[in-house]
Amino acid sequence: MSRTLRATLEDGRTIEYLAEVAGEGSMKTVHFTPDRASVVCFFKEKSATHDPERRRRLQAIVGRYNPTVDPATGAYWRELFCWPTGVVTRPELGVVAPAYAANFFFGSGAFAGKEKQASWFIRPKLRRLIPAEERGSFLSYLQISILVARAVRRMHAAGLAHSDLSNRNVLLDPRGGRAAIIDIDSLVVPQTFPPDVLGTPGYIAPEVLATQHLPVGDARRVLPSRTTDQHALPVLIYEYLLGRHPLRGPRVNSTVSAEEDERLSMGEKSLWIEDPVDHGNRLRGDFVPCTALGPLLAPLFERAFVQGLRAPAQRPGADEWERALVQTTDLLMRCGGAGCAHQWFVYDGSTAPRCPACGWTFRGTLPLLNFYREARPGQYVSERHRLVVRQDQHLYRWHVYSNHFAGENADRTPLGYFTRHEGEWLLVNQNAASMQVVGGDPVLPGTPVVLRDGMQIRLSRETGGRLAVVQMLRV
Amino acid sequence: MEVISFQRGQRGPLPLSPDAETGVLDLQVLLRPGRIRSDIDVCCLCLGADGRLGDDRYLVFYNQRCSPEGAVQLQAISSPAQGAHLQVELAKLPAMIERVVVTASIDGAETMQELEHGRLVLSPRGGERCVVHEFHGGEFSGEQALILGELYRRGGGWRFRAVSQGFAGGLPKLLEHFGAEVRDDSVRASSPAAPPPSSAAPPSSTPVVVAEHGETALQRLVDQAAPGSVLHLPRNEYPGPVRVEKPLMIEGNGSTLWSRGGPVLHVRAAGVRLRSLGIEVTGSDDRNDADVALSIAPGCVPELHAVQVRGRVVGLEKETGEWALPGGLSLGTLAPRRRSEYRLALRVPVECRLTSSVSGVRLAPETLRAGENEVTLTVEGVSADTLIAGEIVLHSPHLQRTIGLTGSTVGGEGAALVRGALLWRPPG
Repeated sequence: MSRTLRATLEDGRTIEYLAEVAGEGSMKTVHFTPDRASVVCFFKEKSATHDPERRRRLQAIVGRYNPTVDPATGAYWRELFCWPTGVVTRPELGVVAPAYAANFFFGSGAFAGKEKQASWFIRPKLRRLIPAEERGSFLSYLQISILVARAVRRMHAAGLAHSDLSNRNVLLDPRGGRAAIIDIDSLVVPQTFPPDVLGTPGYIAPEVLATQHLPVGDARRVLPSRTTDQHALPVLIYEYLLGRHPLRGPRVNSTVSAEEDERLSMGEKSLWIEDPVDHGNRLRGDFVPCTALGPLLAPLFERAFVQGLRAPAQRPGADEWERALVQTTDLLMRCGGAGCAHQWFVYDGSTAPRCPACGWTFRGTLPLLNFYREARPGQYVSERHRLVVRQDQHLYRWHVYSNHFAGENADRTPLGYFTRHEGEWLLVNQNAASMQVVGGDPVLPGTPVVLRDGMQIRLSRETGGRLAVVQMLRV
Repeated sequence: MEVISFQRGQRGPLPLSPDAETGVLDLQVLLRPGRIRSDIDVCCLCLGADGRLGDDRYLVFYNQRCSPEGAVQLQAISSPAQGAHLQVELAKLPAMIERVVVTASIDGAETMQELEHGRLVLSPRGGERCVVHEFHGGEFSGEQALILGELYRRGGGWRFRAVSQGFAGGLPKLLEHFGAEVRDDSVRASSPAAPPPSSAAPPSSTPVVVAEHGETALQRLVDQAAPGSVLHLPRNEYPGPVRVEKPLMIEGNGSTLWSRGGPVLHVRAAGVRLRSLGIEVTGSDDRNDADVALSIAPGCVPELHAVQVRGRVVGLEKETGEWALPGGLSLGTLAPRRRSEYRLALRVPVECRLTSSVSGVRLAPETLRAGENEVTLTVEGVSADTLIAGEIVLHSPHLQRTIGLTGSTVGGEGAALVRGALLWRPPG
């Protein structure tokens, strides 16, 4: 049994921890508490103990910027962030944080007991090294992307920047579709607490890399901020959904050294591998383009990796990513290809839906609900968004009402569902008020309506109620 | 440079100058793939005294190209041969690392037997001697991975052994050998994570509790309410029929009371007040009163405010009589942003006021007299690609009745302007 030591927290409390070092990062050593429910982390740099700025930063992060203590929403954020719960002052400066949940450790395989750092899951080649049941499906990574975007959106809304978003600071649980952001203690409060680190290679924004050689006080030097988080976030999402880095392609930018090539390729010479104009860094051979992710995500990637590489202000915000990812779930189709690792794909609006991962082609009738919102009383305009109907697909409040969004506080009570019955597709109204077929009868709770091509359904006559136009795509 | 050749299994001291162990060792793995089309990945595992990978940060490979302290760094080579260049600083390796093992594995279905030729070259940077170990596919059979060579501590220093040992199963088997067990990848994956919608629910009946004797929940509420009280309904849709046989106010809050066959609501007592409520007959059968939405017993006329009916009304003097109204009106495809005019005729038994819930739709006259009325419906200012879905509402002294209104400007850029087209007229 490891020896037990005692640390003192800032509020005077003491906490026991095991002397044995459980883990070590670049900046901290990690010790479990005897019950293994928490970890006590000490900064390796001894001068940190006497650094008042660092201590104030930790106090701010543990205190007023901490979303996990909110009585209403704290529980949700505690699952998404490994947020420090206390500042340690003796024997060294450090933090107390919750231990990672069990689902973020490999349960079996070569890395049993190891943390499920995102880096293990991001490429098909790597996924083959981990047990099949841990790998997840395309849907898992879409869910994970939503959670990561939501976490970043929440940080940014609170005035914080992560500053070191990378796959080393995100734990994934593809089996459960969960994610957790770690290393929260180095969050940046713009204009208050500057960044500790520039970031992790591959995720550092080009403008940070391009100016890192300048002195710290130089006004031209760009430091990590929310804007640079807005570069790292789409890099992560791109990796999760497409299994490759958006900027690492065949182009060689320097033959002096690998480090110089990396610095230029991720910095001033960065070029998206799918750049629509400059194909100099384009992947060779066939690859699944980002357009396969649907009409909502592809434009955001283009903004992030074409305009956004040189003009940071053009990068989509985390809220835009969250919204587009959530709405992309409405476009999911289940792949019928035997053994397809992805199991799901995004309907791209074509007349011949096809899984980009395995090539399986859909055959049959595909019901689509094209959404219209009430722009003026009684006048509905297209939202350029649709719901792909599948067996047992549910209709939720955010489908029925254009003024509802599937955020963390959304009411997830199903209002209806779709089912195929005797060769017909039905929408069954479970609990939607005042649903009606336009020019037809009300669709009362507990009753179904048969979907017909061209049918218009007012999903609700209440404020924000959408109108859906049914399209039966026959493939 | 002097070349020292190591055969398979041969071990010996590193051919280093006296200060080499504090300097940098260059390890090159050069592979001519032959018939192997897949990638061949070179990995370096830094193992503890137990021969195991105790810390996965010391697995240096394509996804993790550097050990934590930078003692081992990897750079892949892809042209003209496959392989990797490893840089090893022995002095930087922590004491817990006893062995540094270099491996190669095929990321595909081929085997090492198809490898044309391979070479492992070890040289101190800036040195004058190097160790070379060569191998070729003919030495192997069905293996997909190889342990090429290893550096190991001995007697206070480091030595090298040329291994060239094959492993079937590729990198996972290698990791199993040096780490924990690897599960059989042929085990079926567990069910995928459920999509955001919850898992399938069986078809459900209406979410209303049916009390004994076939009464609906709303009927039970009405029966339980004290005479003269106010029954507030959460906004919802409530199946009927419902009988009110006591003084009672029902505040509907925009709720709808419905039934497939009427009468949907019977008022059988004086002192009843109905407010903000819709009453609808949704179907019909052969019974005489099947199309009755609201039935009022003699002497029991309720006070009505913002009550909308769809169906006949019985027992309300001014509301009885003929209501010749269309169930719905379709304007078809309209030219966007232009003015379109239509005509329709409505027959009503009592004076009514006309309104429309659709922006841009105007009705003239706004007040109908009892009898048949000619109405002009004008639509103006509807943008392109817009669907119209709303109602025309007739406000009689006691009740509201609606006529559904639909139309579209989608694809209407070339639509002819409508001037006075007849939409509907009472039959006969």
